[in-house]
Amino acid sequence: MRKLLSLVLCLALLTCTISTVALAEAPTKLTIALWDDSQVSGIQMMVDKFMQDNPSISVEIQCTPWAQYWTSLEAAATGGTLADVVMMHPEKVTAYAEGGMIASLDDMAASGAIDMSKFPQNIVKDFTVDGVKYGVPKDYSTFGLWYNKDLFDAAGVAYPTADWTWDDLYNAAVKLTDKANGVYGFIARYDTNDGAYHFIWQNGGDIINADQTASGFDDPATIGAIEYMVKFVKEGLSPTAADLANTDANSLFLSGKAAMQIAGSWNCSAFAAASDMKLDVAELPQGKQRACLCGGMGWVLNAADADNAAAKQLLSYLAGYDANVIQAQSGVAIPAYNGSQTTWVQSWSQFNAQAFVNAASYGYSSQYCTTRSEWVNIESKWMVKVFNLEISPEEGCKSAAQEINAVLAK
Amino acid sequence: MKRKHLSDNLWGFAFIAPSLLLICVLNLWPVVENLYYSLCKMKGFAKPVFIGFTNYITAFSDGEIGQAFLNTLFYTLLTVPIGVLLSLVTACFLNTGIKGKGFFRTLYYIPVVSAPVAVAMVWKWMFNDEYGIINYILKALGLSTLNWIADGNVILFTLAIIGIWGMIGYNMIILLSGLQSIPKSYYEAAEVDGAGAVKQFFSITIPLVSPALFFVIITTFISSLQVFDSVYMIVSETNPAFQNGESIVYLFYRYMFNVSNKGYGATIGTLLLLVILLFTCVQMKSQRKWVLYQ
Repeated sequence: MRKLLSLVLCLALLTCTISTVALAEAPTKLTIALWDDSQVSGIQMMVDKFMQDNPSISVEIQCTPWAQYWTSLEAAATGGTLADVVMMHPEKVTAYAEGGMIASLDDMAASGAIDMSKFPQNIVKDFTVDGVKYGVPKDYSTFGLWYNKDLFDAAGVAYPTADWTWDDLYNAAVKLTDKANGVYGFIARYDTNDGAYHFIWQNGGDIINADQTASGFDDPATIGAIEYMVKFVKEGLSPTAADLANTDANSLFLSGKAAMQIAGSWNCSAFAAASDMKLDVAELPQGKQRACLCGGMGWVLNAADADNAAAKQLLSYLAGYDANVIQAQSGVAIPAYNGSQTTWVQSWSQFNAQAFVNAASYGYSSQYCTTRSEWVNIESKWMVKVFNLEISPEEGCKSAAQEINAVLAK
Repeated sequence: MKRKHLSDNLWGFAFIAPSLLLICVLNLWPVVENLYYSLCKMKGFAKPVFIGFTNYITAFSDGEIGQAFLNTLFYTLLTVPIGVLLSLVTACFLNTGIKGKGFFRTLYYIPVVSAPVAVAMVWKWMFNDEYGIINYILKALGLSTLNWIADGNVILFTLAIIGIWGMIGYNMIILLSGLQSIPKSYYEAAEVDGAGAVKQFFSITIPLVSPALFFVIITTFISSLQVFDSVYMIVSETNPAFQNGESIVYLFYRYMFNVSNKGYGATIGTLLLLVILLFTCVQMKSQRKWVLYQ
């Protein structure tokens, strides 16, 4: 009797499992992996629209915080459970492409499923590895000259404009610096790509040569740019590296201790939250030429989905105008699709947010060369000494170039 | 008889099997794998390629690893003696009948259960050279202030203060349990014989608490050599004191996750393992000279 009962139960369980399996097969399930918590609601809206138009596909968003994102993504990739569409950083794309983890998008670009001409070309290039396109630009961030209007008014200095040159920046910083009250005119900080690279490119220099065989730090144009920046520190118009190690740039700026600083477009929400301060932003001043770091994120496709029509359809949708406009409405990141940025600019009407969009037209991103992670610590070591006034810019730049070249020669 | 012995042992192994298995899979196997990776060239997703002792040869000529080891050793030699001494003193005081004992015991234990990152943030704020409360107090007392965070000559002391503050609670609990297992009658007898408080401390307390003290010293040594959280939070790469403050685990982390040179990272991990092993062996050997097991 007992045996019979257990047999019946087992059979019942078995049929249950079979039926659930059959049910689960109905819609195609796709997953998207990303790291930015603040973007989830915006991307959920994009995905909802997609699912509405494609009822047979269901899409799930997996958000992992930045601190764990790359560790868990790597584990997923090696373990074969990578999401179908993945948010990718230009510094990481080479490793995933060379590791065979992500699919080539050349076919989709050729067939018109993705129109690569609609994006800033430096970002398309960032996601191209050995001539093969692996990523669709998703969003980008650029930099602007943020300033505190109250401090400008108090010093009687005219607000920065898009036409400012290096001399204008220096002269304004001199007038705005108030040593008695601990107010700095401008924060000249090295801080790898966030701080010094704009100036290097504006002066016609670069951090590495075109074929990535030699450091650009001993280029006179690069040294000239660093000398220009260090002048602010030397004359007390800017905090030193040691000062910034104690109190970071945004804290100084938001407590009214610095009149100007260069900061990225993602700061809009943080600076808008300081509603008791009158802050605004202008395009970066120009040196010999205009230049601004323009770092773009991208969507990539899991290599296992190279022949998965649903996943390709999702990627093609994410690369389109409609999806980018929805992304723009959330105000978090500047959408990469040309023409869809207006919505983003409107979401930050209290600032001159157009400055960030304009900057993309002269955006640089050559810091995403494949070897950078192997030598950026050398660069950092010497530049921190320079910005802490321990050694001269020329000595620091030349020493950095020498050591970086030794690494590149390996 | 012998058969009985064997079957007893088997039962014993059966009972510890669940945890033994987990330790092997989660702790021991990674150690073996790490050892193998340290002999490989391993970048990004590329499969490990065996290269023998090349990583170790590079490591011995790499000034940065040497500097990080010196920093870590200095930190450890600063933190362990002072930290253990303070823990012992605190435990002794909290073992007497002072008022608000429970309150103080909780207070000293709070650092142990606080999130290390949050703790480091608060310390960083207090150590700020211009706006921090520590320099403010120094100034108010008419003393000269220090650049706690960005001065290469000071940074290890700053980190040691944070480390000592954080370890006292945990060590205190262990020493306290050791102190409480000392029978009161020993002290009474000593008092009758005319021994003062200091004599009692060195002749009764220290020998009888020595097993707990030994445990505390060993674990503090190991955890100090592995210092990471406070260094990671306070000494960023753009800090001028970076080279003087970088610990060996921080360097390991940078090679593993920032530079993605995993083979070399594994080498650093293995070297640290060897150093910890060496220190622990020396201490295990020397315990016979001073630890008293009843």
